[in-house]
Amino acid sequence: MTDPAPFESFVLAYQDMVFSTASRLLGNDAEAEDVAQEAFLRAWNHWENLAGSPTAGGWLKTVTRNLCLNHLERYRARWKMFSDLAREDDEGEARELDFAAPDTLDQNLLTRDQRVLIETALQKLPKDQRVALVLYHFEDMDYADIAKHLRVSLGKVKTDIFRAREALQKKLQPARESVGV
Amino acid sequence: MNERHPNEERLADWADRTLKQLPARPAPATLAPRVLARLARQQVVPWHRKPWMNWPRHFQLLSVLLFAGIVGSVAGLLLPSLDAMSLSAATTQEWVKPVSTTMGVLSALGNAASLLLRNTHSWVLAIVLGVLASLYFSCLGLGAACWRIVANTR
Repeated sequence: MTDPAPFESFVLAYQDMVFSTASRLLGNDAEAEDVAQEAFLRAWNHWENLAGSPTAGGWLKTVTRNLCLNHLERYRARWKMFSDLAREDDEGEARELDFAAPDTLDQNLLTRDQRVLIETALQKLPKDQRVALVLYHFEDMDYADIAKHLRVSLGKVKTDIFRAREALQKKLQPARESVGV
Repeated sequence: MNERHPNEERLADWADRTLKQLPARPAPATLAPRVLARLARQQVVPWHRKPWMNWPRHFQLLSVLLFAGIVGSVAGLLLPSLDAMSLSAATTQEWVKPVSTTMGVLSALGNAASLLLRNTHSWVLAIVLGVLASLYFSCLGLGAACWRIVANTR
């Protein structure tokens, strides 16, 4: 039987990265926690190869991203018609999000309030726009890759990302001015 | 035209710079204990009670061979005796009776439906279909709303 102690350290080291990826893609913390748990269980099943591997973090990020995309795909057809409506209904509801203490000087460029504002704005974007934007800016995927993964046209990806940026800009105008654009 | 408008370019740069500055969100305190508890539960479960995909490789191979052996033996035993089996006409009729009764009812219903369709105006049919579709989508919407309430209160 494998010793779980190193795996526990692995979970603690990567849990924030996995949870961030999942919560930004899914826009729902409870679902993100479920997906994060699944990603770590998969990592445990491949622990013999992952333990001590320098690519373990990348592997975990890719698995998390794919699990999120599968999760979204599974519910897309069923809830597509209603999810965007519900999101618009939630517009007025302000939710407090948690943030890790900044550990580099660069992260101090955004204040805590600005970070909360951005994460909240991200979560409130329509699903198609949020997913495309997160894949482009956080996962460093290009338009063609995103279109392939989401099985939509290149034009739709570009439009979704452009609209998402515009929506973010509108919601974050004060934050934008203070970081200097 | 693939060229981007300068404003679009500036917006993209701003979004990239701003989003890349975001630190990772801390995972809920419950995540690591949840994962470890699930692993502990998995480790206590004996291999034969885990999903087949998680069985040790040699047991998977053994189970496939065993299954193939059983299927082969059953087929080998049954096939010759099937040839020897003969059913009397009376027994066959007895078996088929419930099926033929059901088929009769179904064909009568089918005939009635086709008669009704032929004698009904197309606009009446369109209204009926519209009502059925709106009922279906209302149920789907209600289900979606319930699901959202449940998902948000988890």
